Amino acid sequence: MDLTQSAEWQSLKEHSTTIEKSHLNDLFRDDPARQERFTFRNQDLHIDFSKQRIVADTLGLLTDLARANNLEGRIEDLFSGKKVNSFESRPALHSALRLPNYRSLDVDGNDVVIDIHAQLSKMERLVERLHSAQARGYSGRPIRNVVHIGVGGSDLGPLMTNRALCDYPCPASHPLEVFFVSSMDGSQLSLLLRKLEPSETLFVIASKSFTTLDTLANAETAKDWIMERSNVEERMILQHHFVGISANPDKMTRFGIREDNQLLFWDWVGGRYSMWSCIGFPIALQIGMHRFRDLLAGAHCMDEHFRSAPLESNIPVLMALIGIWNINFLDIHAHAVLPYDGRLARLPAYLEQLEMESNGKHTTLDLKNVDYSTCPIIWGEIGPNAQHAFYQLLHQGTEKVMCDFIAPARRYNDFDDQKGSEILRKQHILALSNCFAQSRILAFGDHAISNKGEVPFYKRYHGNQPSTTILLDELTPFALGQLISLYEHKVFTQSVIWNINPFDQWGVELGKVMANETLAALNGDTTHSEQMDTSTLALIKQTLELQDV
Amino acid sequence: MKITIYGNNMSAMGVAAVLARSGNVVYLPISSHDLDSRRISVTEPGLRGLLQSQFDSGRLRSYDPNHPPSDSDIHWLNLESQSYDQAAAIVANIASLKEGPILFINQSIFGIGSTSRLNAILGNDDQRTVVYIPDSLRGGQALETLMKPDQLVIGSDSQWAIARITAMARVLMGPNQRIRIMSSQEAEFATLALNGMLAMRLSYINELANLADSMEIDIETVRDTIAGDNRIGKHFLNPGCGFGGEKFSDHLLLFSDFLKEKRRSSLLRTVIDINEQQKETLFRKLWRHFQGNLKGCKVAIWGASYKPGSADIHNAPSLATIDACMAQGVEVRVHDPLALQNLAEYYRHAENLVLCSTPEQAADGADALLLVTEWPEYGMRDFNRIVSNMRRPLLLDGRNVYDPGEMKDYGFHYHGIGRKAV
Repeated sequence: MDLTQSAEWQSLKEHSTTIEKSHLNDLFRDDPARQERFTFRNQDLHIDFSKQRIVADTLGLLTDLARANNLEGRIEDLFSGKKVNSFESRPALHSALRLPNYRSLDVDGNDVVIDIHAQLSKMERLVERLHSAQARGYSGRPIRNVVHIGVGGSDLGPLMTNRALCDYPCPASHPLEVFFVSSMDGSQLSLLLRKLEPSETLFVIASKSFTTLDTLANAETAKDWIMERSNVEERMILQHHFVGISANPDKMTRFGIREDNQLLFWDWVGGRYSMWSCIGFPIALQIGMHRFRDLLAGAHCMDEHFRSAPLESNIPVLMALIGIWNINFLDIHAHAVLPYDGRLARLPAYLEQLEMESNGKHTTLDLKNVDYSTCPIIWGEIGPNAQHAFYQLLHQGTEKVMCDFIAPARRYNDFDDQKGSEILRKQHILALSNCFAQSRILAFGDHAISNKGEVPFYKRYHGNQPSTTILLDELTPFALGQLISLYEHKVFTQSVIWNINPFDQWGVELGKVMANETLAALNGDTTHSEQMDTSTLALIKQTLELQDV
Repeated sequence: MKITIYGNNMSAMGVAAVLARSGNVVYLPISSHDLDSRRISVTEPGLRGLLQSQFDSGRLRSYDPNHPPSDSDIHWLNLESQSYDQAAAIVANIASLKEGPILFINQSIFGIGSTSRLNAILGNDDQRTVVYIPDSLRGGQALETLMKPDQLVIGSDSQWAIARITAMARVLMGPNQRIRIMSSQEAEFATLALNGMLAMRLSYINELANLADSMEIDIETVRDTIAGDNRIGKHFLNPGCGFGGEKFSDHLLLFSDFLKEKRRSSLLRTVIDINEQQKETLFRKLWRHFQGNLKGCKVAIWGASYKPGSADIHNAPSLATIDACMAQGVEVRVHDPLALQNLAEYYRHAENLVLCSTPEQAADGADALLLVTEWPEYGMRDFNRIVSNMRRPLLLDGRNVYDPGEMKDYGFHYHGIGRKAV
């Protein structure tokens, strides 16, 4: 039966008509136990759903919907290595990347945990070599700069994590800096190369297929840059200045990267789920391998919870189902991610990819068009900065938006490590006060004000915008691992209900093919020009003319 | 006199031995059993024997570090730079146990102003005081330099202490000593400043040598010319593969941090950085010679101590060289006349390190020979035999000891520091 025709869906539909009529202010007034009822904890995360437009019955109906769609069975399929990525006929085993080494997981007769830990060990050796200043460039000097070249899943995870965990000092014996380069046009790279010393610079080429055009273009520029300045032969440059991370070792070898410097992951790791694999190399470089393992442990902790907790108290499941409630029953199609901590600046971009590339689909697993909404538009920004930008729309606009507020409760408290400072701690508390105030106004609007008095119409706040608040005890590798894993499983849960495949991304493939055709045209090859529209042809013509100026 | 020494480093042992030899009863937190069992390594030539004979005479006595004798005439601090808290605890303890005059002689540097802070614990009393006297020990010649410093610096405001120390110096060192009296803060400052000056000269000449390397210029000629100017002189101007030593490096780091903090000056930090890079200069020559493919090579290293005459390997250039080689999968074969045991302890679990009892054994089958510490006995060997037993005749002279032309005649491919390769 189609999803929207099911009894569970219909019950929710009916239930939504009553909720639609009530304001969050009423829901809080009617249920004094609301906050406890909808607040959950898992290790270092405290999650408050009480400002969502739900009542006790809502969660019951939602879990009924989940059960009717065999969510529990599908979770088991995910973890046990079933081919949940059905269109590409392979499993999606990012959770296996976080399994401790004493566990095992058989996939097609092969224990993948052994392979995973073998690659982690290889990565650890490389990290130690760099940390102990024993990885050397062509001149024999130690490598001091590591430039990670990758895009999409090979970039966003490590970039976001390194920013998030920037308070942790790099455990290297000498100054070692990690940089990220992704943009296809070379603008990030050329700017960076100006300040780096070639003999002390290592490039990490990260691409699952090792065919990503953006990445390979940057890699060629990097190689050219060292070659030009070093005056030594190419083989030596490739051996000592390049590390590859890919699921395609043959292509890495063909590029010239030596076996010692090749880190592998597998086709059963999706790009946007790959920061737990050797794609996390720049993370381990910056925070050290033991902290990288803490990150994996945090994610694994959430995996275990997701796999074993009953749906009624399963945090990723509840987060997903509340999302579905908002999207499909309360008609909300925008989702803002609002971290109240500058270190989480890259988190919105990371979640944009995770959610929209995973669930931005309209084809069901049984190859039909959906007749309901799937992934909403997700965007975000550091909360306090966004308050001066798009919060106006959240408070007084015409769009309904659901928000995730994310903040660590504790920061700058480590006086012993000299990371702490009383004045900075006060700044953190200031940010938290804004975080809590904003979710309050969004929920209650004018009701939040004690002294209402006479307020002009244009100063009114309607409120009733739902939000979830996620408090991390502290922004540690472990807590961050939990947080990201929470979102991954939320995405999977929603895909199960929507009956779509979250692990492929056919929508980005056509663009790559078309770009190749267009590139040929820009290089003067007119083979494909006949099929092109007049707008594109005119743009090409205009560009070619301007090249000659 | 009765003297208690605090500390178990080379300076502590040196001072204890010399004071006991002069008839004092000296208490040291090291026993003759520690020396026999080699729990404490004695890196200075002649010191072990002198300590043993003073123990035998009964004037040198050991004590339990937890219960130092409190009634000594002089308490003598020879602690590590990081151990200020320990020093403060010792001073406070004696202050509480003993009434009347107390004389501490502090030869440790915990930073500029630290002696004055220790003094404050005693209440800034003229006859209960801590005096700073720079440690004049020079590694490799401790016994000669310890009691015959170029000048005796006394850092103190206490007339009582200054009188006692001057009298004692006359007995120990003879008349006509150059004695300079100043505040303890000035004395600490001067000690660190002197140390920094020496380091600057070395890093300067090394930086010039690296420049000369790339320019077909012989640094030896340049160095001789600079050193020939009376205003400059010849000391601490030998280009080489870096300097080391525990105290020298510790004090340099201390002073560099102090300069950075007070003046935002990175002058000494640069000096240190140049030296750290210089310690790998032989390795870099090796790396470039083999185009980065060192796996499976055998490399002989002559000299591991931070300077000839000492068994001390603290911060020695040999360590940086050995680390770098081992990280590339090189078999390292080391000879040193005194430091092998310390090296064995330092690299307890290293698989690729062979300690050799003769220089020839180290060079046997090697792809390269690296001279790191210029022990005199490496100067003249049977180089014909050495060349013929090496797998490849590459000689990297980290101290410019050899004549390049002569080494070429033996069949070596020779690289020095800042010299043309032949």
